[in-house]
Amino acid sequence: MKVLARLWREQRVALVAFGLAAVLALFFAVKLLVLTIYWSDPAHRQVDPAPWMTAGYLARSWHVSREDLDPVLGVERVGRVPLKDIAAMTGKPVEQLIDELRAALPAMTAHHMGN
Amino acid sequence: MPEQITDAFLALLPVYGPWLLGLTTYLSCLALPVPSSLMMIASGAFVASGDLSGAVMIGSAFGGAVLGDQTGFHLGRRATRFLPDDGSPKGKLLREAIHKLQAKGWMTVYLSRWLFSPLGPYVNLAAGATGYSRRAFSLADLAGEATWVALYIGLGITFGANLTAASEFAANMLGLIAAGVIALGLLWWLWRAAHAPTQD
Repeated sequence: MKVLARLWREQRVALVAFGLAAVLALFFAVKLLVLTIYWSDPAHRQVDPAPWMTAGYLARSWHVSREDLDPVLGVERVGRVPLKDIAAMTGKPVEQLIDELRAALPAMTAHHMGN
Repeated sequence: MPEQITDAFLALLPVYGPWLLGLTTYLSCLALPVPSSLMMIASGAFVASGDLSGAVMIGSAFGGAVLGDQTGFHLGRRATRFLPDDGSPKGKLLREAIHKLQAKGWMTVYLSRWLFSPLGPYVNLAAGATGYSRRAFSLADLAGEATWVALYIGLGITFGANLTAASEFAANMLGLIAAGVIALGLLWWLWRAAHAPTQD
């Protein structure tokens, strides 16, 4: 306590700054912990399909195999091609392809997880 | 950065992978507003999904960043007139960078690569302009950029299946490290002050 009183007298700015930095560090630590718990649930990691994603990216995010997506995509074993280009290859709007994926993915994941 | 631009960058990534990533890290080291952190996380994700090669992506991100830093250093060396003037916000960042550099050169260069990365481009210019040794700069720079690239691409490989998750992790982790480093530094300062002979 005597040390604290002395520091408060002589090093007030440093003491306050230390307090703020410590609170901030604690804040980030708690947030990191909350994020870890939230994102460790596989269901939270499944991303909504977006035009920039590749088949491999979606397959990994939804825990399905790449080949499972072929019937929905309308192309076979497509390489590193974003969804918007796959849509162009098959002649449909990317929004339609995304809607079809949104409808199909949950069932595929359930199937893969053995439900 | 607007979402459409970020998405456009991301859509080009699987197609032009290493070139695009190298260019992004190069430009970001010159203080240009490109989404380099997000691009590195996404690259890591595409590495994990088997779309891109890990070694090639790490190499191009690292190469682009080091080249960008060397360009900044060189610009600083060649022309002081490129430096922003004192009144502007960039000028303030620059003065802060010069001050830090003179106090603890290699540590400033190293930490401004990844932990305090918004300072990085200004530290490059300042190091060049204030006559800091190129060899010392380059060594700290190589170590710092290696940390930066490993951190973000590693995060992308681990958590990249969801970019939001990976970005949140990165932001909070760097926040925790930065606040922790500052808190420890101040604690050391206070500890020394508490053990010094009394002033009054």
